[in-house]
Amino acid sequence: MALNVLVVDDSSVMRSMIIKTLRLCGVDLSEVHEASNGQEGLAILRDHWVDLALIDINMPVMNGEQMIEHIKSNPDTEDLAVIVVSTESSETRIDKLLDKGVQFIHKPFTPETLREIILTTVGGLDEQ
Amino acid sequence: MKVIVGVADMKISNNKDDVLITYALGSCLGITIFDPVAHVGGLLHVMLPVASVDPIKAKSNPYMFVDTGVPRLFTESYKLGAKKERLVVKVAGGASTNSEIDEDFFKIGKRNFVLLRKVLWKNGVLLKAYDVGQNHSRTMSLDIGTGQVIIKISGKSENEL
Amino acid sequence: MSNDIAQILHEIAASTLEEMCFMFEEPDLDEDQFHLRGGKAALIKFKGAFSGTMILKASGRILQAFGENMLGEDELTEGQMQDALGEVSNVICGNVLPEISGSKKDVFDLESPIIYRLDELPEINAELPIESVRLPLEEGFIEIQLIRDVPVQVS
Repeated sequence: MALNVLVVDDSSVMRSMIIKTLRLCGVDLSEVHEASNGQEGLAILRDHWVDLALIDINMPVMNGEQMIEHIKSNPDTEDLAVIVVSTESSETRIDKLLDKGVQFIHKPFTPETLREIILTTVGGLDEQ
Repeated sequence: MKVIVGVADMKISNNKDDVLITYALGSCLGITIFDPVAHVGGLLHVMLPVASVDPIKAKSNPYMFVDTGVPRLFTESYKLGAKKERLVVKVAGGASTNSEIDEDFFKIGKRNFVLLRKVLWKNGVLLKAYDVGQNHSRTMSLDIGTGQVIIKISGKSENEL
Repeated sequence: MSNDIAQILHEIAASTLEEMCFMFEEPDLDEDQFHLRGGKAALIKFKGAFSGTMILKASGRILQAFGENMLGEDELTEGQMQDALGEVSNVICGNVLPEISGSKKDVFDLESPIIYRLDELPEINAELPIESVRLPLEEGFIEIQLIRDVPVQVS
């Protein structure tokens, strides 16, 4: 079944890199939404069904940590698969995020590493 | 039939009985592509990252360089019926040429691999698997019948990539 | 300490550019070839175990290479090139800070990068500790400055 994906990052170049990797992953994509901060991301989640969200941490207006708090405390979105894509290196903060059941990938990443995490998160469609 | 791919060389095949093989991958890269539907595969053995360091050599032998060899590997496979979206790309080699890795001043092996990633990213291709770096020599083979890629490391057992 | 910070800036910038932008350090480029023509700078303020500012300056040619390589495209807008500079700076800064603090437990908050023309960069308070490194790349130079805000001791 085709996935609806949300990519939240304040860098449009980073969003493009993530979306390009998603398209090369072999997963069947339906809608791809973009947001440049947590608040915009939550607005998209209110109006659209999303299966997977890739979220940055350091963003203006509402950061990724706050956005994930909202996602996990809302029964409509608590089961959404989330991958945090961030430069975050603090074990304190990463452990806190992992406790919420999200996946984490550290920037800089290679597209191949991101593909592995995407496939693991959405259940893998690796046919070869 | 065993088809040997030399240094700065490339072979493409759609014969299911062929096994393409290249030896002594040090800082060089061995790059395989395989279309499991068309049963078309290729193996390229490149030595250096960019053709601009020696345009004359690049013209006489594009398979010496990553940036001229890789596009040929893909376009030649298309002539035998391979489709880009089905191609499985694997790479091995890119080792450090010096036993003291930090002293490998020119980092040719690493540069070869980074430049390969750049060429593939630009062309919208992700690597399926890779075995690169360290400082040992590798032998790489591609079985056109099965698509299986085997890496043999000097003094060690062989592994499927 | 100063030399360590410069070393950390150098190593993390080099590895980030290799991984994210497929760009390599060019040790053969002489310091007298240093220029930032047509360039821009990204400025990032941060708070945490220590606070301060990181500035990354890059020539026009480097800006273009950041964008082209990250996106894998040749036709870029000025906005995309600036965005790429901001993101590269963000990744370098985010990775450098915990290395400098020396503890993986320390938390840092980074503000979004602000892009400046080189002649419009805010003045740096000369009394603050500043580390500077120049990294020669095949496409030219980048310069990174890390300025730590140190509270003034009043006796």
